[in-house]
Amino acid sequence: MNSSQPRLAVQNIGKSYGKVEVLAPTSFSINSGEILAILGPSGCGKTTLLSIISGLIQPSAGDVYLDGRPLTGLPTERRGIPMVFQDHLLFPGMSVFDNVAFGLMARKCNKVEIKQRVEEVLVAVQLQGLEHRQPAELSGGQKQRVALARAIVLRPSVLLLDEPFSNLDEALRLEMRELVMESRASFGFSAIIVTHDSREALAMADRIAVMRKGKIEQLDVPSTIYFKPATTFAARFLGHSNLLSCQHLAPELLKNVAISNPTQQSLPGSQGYLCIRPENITILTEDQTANCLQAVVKTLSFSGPRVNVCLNSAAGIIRCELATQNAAALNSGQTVGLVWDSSAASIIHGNDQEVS
Amino acid sequence: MNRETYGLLLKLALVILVTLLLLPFVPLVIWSFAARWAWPDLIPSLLSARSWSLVLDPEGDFLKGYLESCLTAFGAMTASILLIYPLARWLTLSDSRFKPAIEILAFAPLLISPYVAAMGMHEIFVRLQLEDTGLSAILAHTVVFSPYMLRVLIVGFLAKGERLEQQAQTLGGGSLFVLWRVTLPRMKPAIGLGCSFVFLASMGEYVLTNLVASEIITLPAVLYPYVAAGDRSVAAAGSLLLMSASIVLLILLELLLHNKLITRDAA
Repeated sequence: MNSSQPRLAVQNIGKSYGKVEVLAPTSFSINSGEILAILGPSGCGKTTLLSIISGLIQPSAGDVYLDGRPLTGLPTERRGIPMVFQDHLLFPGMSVFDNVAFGLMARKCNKVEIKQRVEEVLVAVQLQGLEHRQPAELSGGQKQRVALARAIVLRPSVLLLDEPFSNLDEALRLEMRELVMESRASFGFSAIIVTHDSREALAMADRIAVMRKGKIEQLDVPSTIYFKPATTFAARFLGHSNLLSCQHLAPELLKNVAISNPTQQSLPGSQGYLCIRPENITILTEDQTANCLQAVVKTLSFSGPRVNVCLNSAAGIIRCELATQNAAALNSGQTVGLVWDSSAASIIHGNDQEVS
Repeated sequence: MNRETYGLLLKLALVILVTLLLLPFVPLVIWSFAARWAWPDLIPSLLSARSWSLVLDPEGDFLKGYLESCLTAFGAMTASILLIYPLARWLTLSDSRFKPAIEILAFAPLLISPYVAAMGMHEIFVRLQLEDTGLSAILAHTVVFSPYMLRVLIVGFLAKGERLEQQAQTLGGGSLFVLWRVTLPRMKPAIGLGCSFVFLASMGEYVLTNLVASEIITLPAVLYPYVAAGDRSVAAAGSLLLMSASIVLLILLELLLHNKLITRDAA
């Protein structure tokens, strides 16, 4: 493989069922060892995109390239791109060993190699000793580990993960995320993970593609997507974001704030929104309220190390997040001033889009 | 209700169920050995092995009919599974606009009289010079009884879906490998049930066979004159012989379903 060549490239892939377009022409690529998260709500087309890459669905247009080789017309089993599904899909009636060995047996590897590779990968996913168990005898987390082991034992260059942890509880999710990251480091695969969990995407991905209604709205590194979302949808989908109509903000509050989507043409009747994350707002007490946005504290809610503050302002409801010790002086009904570092804020042109 | 009472009631229910299932066969067995059993005798007044000698006579029609019925039923069962399996899968998974029309065609033998279908088939067999052969009997039974197999397999495919097969494909499993390692083990219960339906229906059929292959002697055809003539003893022995094929099939299917490839739900 050419060092500058992407590991996997998707070029103008689109999918329509009759007149219904479920995936608009989409292009992106991932590099060797990279994890790309495709993030979006249910029904936005992210699983369709993954299924097209794996060959389970034929695209209406476009092509997929693996190491520069076109995959058009190649059946799923010959693409060499294993997929881990949300519901683990372990083969019933087969032991853990047989499940993990499935792909190697399909490739007609010899028994010695199968045994050695399965044992190696079972150690990597911490399932040694459970080789002879049946799927029904495993916990949810163990099942998902087997599903992961079954894919990485094939030493794929690209691994597809379709909401792999959404059936697990919070603690197991964290554990599995770490396991995927460790496995990536050990086995060196690139991965595309489809998820609707923004925290999962932010924690795991080298880059995130935010999808909505069959289109990628923004594809960038997690910090840019989080702090400089290109659309109000992306801003809202990645945790809480304050979107303040620029019409209600004094010009000096918008000074030096970068525009997230400078190439986007302003539509007639559209407007701009200042996007600022709750943790990037500083609350000033009453005697320091000059040159800032005036607001009245509505509610304060304690959440351990942080306090969430909800405020009323001329630009609308604003949410802030403060360290608990910094919120001690605040009371409901108190008038305060809000300021932010212009580098932590951004302006999004366009109409407000609800998360759907 | 405590556990002991519950267990006792369960055992009692089981005994009643088994008794009800076996009860009709007890008179059959007794009749097969009875030379004279007139009302109001509780048991036969005279026993004889005449019926069994007749039924098990190696030169007689009963064993010939038994063998030909079994071969026809086995042939129809095998042909049904081979023809219907891919059709059932296609009908379940395809979104083709021709699907409803093909589904109606496939189930047509259930909607029209099998004898009407048999007349049509006989015409075709005559033209193909296949009339009055074992193959024509197998083909006729396959056409008439395969909708039972189709119905059961469609339900099986609907219940199982295709997600496991897709998973197997992404892991590199080719069509045959996935069929053998993933699909068939999961479909075994449905296949077993479909096979039972076709085999049992075919074993009991003789008018259809007579219409398309009059040279083929089926056990029900041999049995019928004895039933009509009121020879209960021979009718009972012949019925037990007919039943034995079904029992052997059910035992074989049970063994097949409970081997090490049995599907165990991983939910």
